[in-house]
Amino acid sequence: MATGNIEFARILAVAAAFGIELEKSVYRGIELHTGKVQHRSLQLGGLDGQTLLFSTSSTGDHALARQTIETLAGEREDFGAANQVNLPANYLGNVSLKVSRGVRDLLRYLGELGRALQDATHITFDLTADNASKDAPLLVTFRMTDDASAAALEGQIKKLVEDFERNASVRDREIFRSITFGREAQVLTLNVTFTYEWMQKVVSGHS
Amino acid sequence: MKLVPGTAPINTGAFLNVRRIFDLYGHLIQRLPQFGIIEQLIAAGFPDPRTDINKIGLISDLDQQS
Repeated sequence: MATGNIEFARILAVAAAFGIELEKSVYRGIELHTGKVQHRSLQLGGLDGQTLLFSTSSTGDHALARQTIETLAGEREDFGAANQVNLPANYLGNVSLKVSRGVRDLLRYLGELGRALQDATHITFDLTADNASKDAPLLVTFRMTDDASAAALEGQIKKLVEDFERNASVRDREIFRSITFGREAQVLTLNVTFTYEWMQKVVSGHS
Repeated sequence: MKLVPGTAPINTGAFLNVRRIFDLYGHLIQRLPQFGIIEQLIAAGFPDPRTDINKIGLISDLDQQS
C-alpha cells in the first residue's frame, strides 16, 4: 500500500500499457481491479484518492486486500495495535517479522547466531534518522520464547560486538558510529548507527 | 498508522517513510545508478517517489505457512 498524491487512473493506464488485463469489481464501495501476472493474481485499488492498494495472491483470494479495506473502515484492529508496532515520528523504515518455520530455516545459515535465533518469536527492525547529523540508527529488537534463550542470544551478540570493538578496521568504523545492545527479560535490543559520511562515500563510489 | 489489518496470524509487515527518506537522502539516492530504473518507471507513468508517495506499507500472510 502506498499513500501520497497517487493518480489511480494513471496506474491503471500503465498496467494496460504493460498488457496486464484487469477485471473491475467493487468491495464496500472501493473499486478493485484484478488480473494475472506470471501465474499470480494481482489486485489494485484506489482507496481514498491518496492511497493505492496493491495486492498479490497465489490463490486469487486477496483476503488481505479485503481486510485492509475493512481496517480503513474501522471495522478491524490495525496492524500497529495488534502487533505493538509504534512507528516513531522520525522513522525511515520498519520491518516486523514473525519468526515462522520458514524464517527459522533461513536463520540457520547465520551459523551460531542463527542457532541462537531459533527461539525468537518476533524480530523488528526500526530505522530512524537524526535530522542534524543525518546519521541513521537501526534498532533491532528480538523477542525470545524464554529467559534462557534470551540469555543465549545475548551471549552471541555480546561476542559479535566485542569482536567488532577489537578487530574493526578503519573502514568498519567509518560505517558504524556506534554499536550497543541490551536485554530486559526476554527482549533483546541491538542498536547500530550508520554514519552519513559512509552513505556519501557509497554514492560517490569511494567505499 | 491505521493502514493494514493486524488480526493474527497476519503479523509480518514493512513500512517505508518515502517522503522522509527523500527529504533527508534524496540528493544521494538520485545519484545512484539504480535510480535510472526508477526514472524510466516514472516516465512510464508510475508515481514519482520524490513528490507523489508519502508512505509505503507491505503486509504478508506468508507466516500462515508455518
